[in-house]
Parts: sequence; structure tokens; C-alpha cells
Amino acid sequence: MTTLDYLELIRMWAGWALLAVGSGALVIGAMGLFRLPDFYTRAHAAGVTDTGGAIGVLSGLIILSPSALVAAKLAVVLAVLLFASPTACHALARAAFRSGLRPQLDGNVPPPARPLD
Amino acid sequence: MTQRLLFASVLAALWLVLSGHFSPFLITTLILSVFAVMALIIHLGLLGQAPRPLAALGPLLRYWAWLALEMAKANGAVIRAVLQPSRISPTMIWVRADQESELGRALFANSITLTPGTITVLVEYHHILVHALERDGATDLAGGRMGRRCARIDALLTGRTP
Repeated sequence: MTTLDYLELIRMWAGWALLAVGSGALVIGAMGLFRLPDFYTRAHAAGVTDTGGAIGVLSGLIILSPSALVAAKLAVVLAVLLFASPTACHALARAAFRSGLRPQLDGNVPPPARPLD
Repeated sequence: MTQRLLFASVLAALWLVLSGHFSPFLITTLILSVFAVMALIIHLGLLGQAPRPLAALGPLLRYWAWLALEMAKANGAVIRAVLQPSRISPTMIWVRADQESELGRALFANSITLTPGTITVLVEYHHILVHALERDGATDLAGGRMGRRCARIDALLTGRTP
């Protein structure tokens, strides 16, 4: 085998490893949606799918992609996702809080009031 | 002006990456559409007002690298919490957002939501209501490391001394 073959092999393994890590994060994020108790804690599980899952799968695909153009397109998707998904998550949480859904907090305390300064 | 040129080149790069063709017809439509979109955006006043958009580029890239590490750590913590739901201790706190510009506060609020385990619920001027899955996440945010980093980038963008 030549050096180029070795590089190709490393690229393939790195890509598949990232894909596997990302898929694992996706599965655990989906599990969290069922196992955690209320809306807000479930949103944290969705955060794992949005970050670990998306970054793992998309960066794996970027490494495995056949041409630079495909890689660049996937990078655009990843960049848009990293700006859009926290915004969407915040919009959901804000809408829930504004419409009166109160989170179950540790020790059954109510959410703190806004500081006055 | 730098900001307009920068935004136009980002638009052009996006067009080129998404099309992948370099024929004269597509290059002409590229130029026409970038001009049309820039005219619309300037007319509507949608372009931000950061006076020195390039000054923060290096620190912003370093911040994103740091944020990626924080995200990896936070992902681990939330994954442990999902596998063992009895560990969670949901907490809500108000965190101070000392960033001067709206862009700086948006950067901070988005970074909080992007790290799993903490979510920005409300943003009111210089206060952010955060929901944390575990109490450690809340105390970490209250410690203000992330806020200080965002404030430094915000200061570079607005051209004030940090």
C-alpha cells in the first residue's frame, strides 16, 4: 500500500467514527425525549440531537464526501443549523414559559423573579 | 462599507457553493442577484451596525473553538443524565448579560442554548433567564466565564475598550 492508500483508509475510518458518534448522540437524544420528566428537561435532550448528533453526522459526511463542492455544501448546512437550532429551541422554551407552563424545578421551588437592578 | 462588501462576498460565495457551476450565464445572474439583494437589504436597513466587523474575527474563531469544547463536555453531562434520570436537578436562574450590543447578547444567549443542559428561556435587556438540567450547569453560568468571553468579543465589535 502507498501513503495515499493509508490516508484514504484513515479518512474513511475517521468519517465512519464521527458518523457513529453522531448517530449515538441522536439515539440518546431521542431516548431523553421519553425519559426526562417535563417539557423543559426534554428540550435539553433535544439539545443533544441538535449539537452532538448534527455535528457528528454532518462532519462525518463532510469527511466522507467525494468532492470539495459536496463538502462545502454540507458545511453550509452545518453552519446554518448551528445558528438556527438554538434559536428554535429558545423560541419553544420562551413560548412555553410565556403561555404559563411552569417547569418542575429541584426542591419544588417556583422560577426566580427577575432581579431589579 | 467594509460590512457591505463583506456581506456581498458572503452572498456570492454562498451562491457559488450552492450552484457549483461557473458558466457565464450563471455568473451574470450571480452578480445581478447579489446587487438586487444588497439594494433591498440596504434599503430596508437590515444590515447591522458593527463599526469594525473584522476586528473580532480572530477572537470570534477562538471563541467558537472554546465553545465547541464546552459543547462536547456538556453533551457528555446531558447524556449521563438521560441514561440516569434520577441524577437531574432542574434549576432556573437569572444570569447577567453585560454585553453592550444586541449582537453580543444574541451571541451569549445562543451560546447558552447551544451548550446542552442550559437553555435561554427569557431575554430581558441585561438579564437572561436560564433553565439548567443540573445545578452544576447553572452555577457554572453564574460564574460568568462564558459571559466574559462574549463581552470581550462584543467590545471588539462595537469598538469600545474591553
